[in-house]
Amino acid sequence: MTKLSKVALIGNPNSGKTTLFNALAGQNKKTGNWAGVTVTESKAKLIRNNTQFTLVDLPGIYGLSLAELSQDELVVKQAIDQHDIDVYVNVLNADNLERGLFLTTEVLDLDMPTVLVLNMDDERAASGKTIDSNKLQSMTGCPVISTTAVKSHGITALFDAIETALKQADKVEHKHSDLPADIDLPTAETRAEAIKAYVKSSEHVVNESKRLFDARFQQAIDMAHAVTQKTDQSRIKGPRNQLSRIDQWLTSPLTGSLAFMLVMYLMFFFAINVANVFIDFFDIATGALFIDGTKQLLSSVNAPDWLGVVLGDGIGAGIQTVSTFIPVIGFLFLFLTILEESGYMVRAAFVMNNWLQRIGLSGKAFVPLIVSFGCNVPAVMATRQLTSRHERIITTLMAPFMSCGARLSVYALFVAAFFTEHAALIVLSLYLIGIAVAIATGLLMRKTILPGKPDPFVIELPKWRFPGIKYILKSTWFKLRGFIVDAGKIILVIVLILQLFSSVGRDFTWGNEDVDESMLAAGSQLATPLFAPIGIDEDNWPAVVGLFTGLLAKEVMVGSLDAIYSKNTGDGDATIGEQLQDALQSIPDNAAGLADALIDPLGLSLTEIDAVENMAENQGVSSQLFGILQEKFHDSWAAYAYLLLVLLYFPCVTVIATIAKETGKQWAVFSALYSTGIAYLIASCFYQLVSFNSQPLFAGLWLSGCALVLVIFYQALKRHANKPTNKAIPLNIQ
Amino acid sequence: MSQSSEHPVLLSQAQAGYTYRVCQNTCNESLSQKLTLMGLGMGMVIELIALYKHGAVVKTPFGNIAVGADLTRTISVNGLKKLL
Repeated sequence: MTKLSKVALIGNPNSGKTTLFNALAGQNKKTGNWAGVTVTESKAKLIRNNTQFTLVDLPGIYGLSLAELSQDELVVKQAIDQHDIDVYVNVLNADNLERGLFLTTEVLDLDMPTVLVLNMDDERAASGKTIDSNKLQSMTGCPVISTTAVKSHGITALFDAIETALKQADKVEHKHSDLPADIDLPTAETRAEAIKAYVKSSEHVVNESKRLFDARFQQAIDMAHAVTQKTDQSRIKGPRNQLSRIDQWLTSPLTGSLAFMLVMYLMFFFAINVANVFIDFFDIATGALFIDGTKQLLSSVNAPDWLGVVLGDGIGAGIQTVSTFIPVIGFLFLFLTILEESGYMVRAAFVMNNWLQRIGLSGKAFVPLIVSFGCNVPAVMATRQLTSRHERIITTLMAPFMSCGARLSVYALFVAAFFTEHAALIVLSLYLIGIAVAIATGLLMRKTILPGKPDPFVIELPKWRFPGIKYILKSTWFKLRGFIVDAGKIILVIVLILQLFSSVGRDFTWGNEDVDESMLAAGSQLATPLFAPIGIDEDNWPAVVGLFTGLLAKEVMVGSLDAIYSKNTGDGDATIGEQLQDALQSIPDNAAGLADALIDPLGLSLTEIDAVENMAENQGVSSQLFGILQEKFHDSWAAYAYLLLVLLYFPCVTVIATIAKETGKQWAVFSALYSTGIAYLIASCFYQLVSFNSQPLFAGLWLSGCALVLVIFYQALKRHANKPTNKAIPLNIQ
Repeated sequence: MSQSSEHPVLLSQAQAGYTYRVCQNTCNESLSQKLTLMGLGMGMVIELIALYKHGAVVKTPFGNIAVGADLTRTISVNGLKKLL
């Protein structure tokens, strides 16, 4: 089998490599306007004009020869050291050549075919700079291509240059950087190897490295100045000044913190209130098409009843459940995409640096923590940009407590059933409790088993960017699609399995209509007493099933609860056409209610008694489910305690697997046990506190017992930390 | 309006709205290299855009960067001039 040629994108952080990768490969890898979005390499197989090659997107790196590299930068070094890259595409920010050319001089030393890409050409033009590409080409010996990846400009020319480079792999004639005159390099296959050998054999390794660094840096600056001309400053002054004023507001402690709170609030407003406008549409339409439609179709061809149950009530109901997440998760992703692409994240990280320093973390840890609001998995991966090992592990342990988008669907279900008066406020409180537990975790770890000082905080403030509505919507859509497909696959399987177990009786008979007598009930009832201190009664065993299915993925919980609590069906009296009409009509109807939410976004003034019914209709699960939930959880405190458990316990198997891969199995086990233990303690203490009057003796004993457990746990961590052999648990670097 | 000073001051004690030349830092070598590539190397002219308790926003020859308070206490600058 012939080995495919390998083309690697290499460049400074935030130079647009992943956007270029997406444009070249037609893919949709995560992008963002800050340094450190890409922390692992991505690959795509490309075929063009009979030329096949693998395109590799590497994380950003400032320089290959730096004395210390973070985990994501080490990925780049390892990729280069494998010596299987045939062509390097060195991506530079055309608006900031001075910084990027240092790495270019190092890439040239690898003596492999190289194409220089001046990306973000639109920003270069907007800032009134011109770059003499021909001069740069003659100074480096490499073809130079200008691109604006976000608009797919210059992609054809880049493809041509890559093809040419692949065909002329043996004709590399790079112009290397000049070294101090007294340096006499030994003979080696490449210049990079010669320099490495020279430094290694030198008596003063540190001094020689520094001399080489300085010489290379000066040469990069000279080269940038030689090819760049700045013209027409006047036309850019106005908007730049305005932007710097915005920067001043967003980076100052007071206005920056207020702006951050406003942004977070808007995110929840869109993800909850605005999303509610569309939930009915998805619920009614998918119910009509996939449940009633499927059943009617099967009935018209005289298919057996069990097939209707499996395809309609099983798979159809699963699809309906997934579809009701679409507005909530879609708006959350849309908001996060805008924040990530605009450059706001870095400003917020800087403001939060002060707060994070107090718990022993650098502001850089803020980005993974915020990404957690979307999904904990990329958040754990994003910790790679932190150089300190302890800081990375602490951030990894904190991330699962930041409530992910999947949990939001569970909150949406319960607030609709129990907390209609203060829906947004209840959800916000859960997010805040998650943040508080994450902070407490950070402090606990810093003071015990993971001591140390935070990474020094220095980060580039990227220019404000808005890549356009089309790009934002496309990026959001691909994130949403990934979520729906991944979650949908699991939900469908889980719903089918649950249906199977709820149909098999304790006596192993099939077709058990009374779900209380099923195998599922028998198994769950065994575990239910464990959750009694949280307010889950014995007959509420489906809530325990929900917790177990939530171990796989939190988005599965709503589907499981819906499948067990209620037999979800569409509107039996209405035709499919009428239901679809109802679905469409629900959008303007619900939008009318949005005006009230705009005036009173926290829902503080909504006290109508019939609001429960209205919310039940708006939430996208059967109204039957709301009634059953209200019946099974005997009060709203029990429901809130259950939500606390959902918020804090075992994140999901994918997150734990990612933690194991990134930090090692022992930390993954620790994270799983710690989060579940803390969740149980907090949820049970909360419930015992609020129901103290009903059984004061038990509640008092329980609360004292929990306090004692916490003290013992803290002491155990301290003792463990003080053992010399346990001072360093190795970090697993892939 | 302009002033000048030959006495180095820590970046954390400098005044926002002035230009400075980086004259010393007490960071380790690896961090020093990274700072250089971000435009905060020795001899580089920078503008202090904003200074807070939690850090500073600095305009370097390579663009704007945010520096935490821990670093502003390790970088010395001199040559002070009010921006016009």
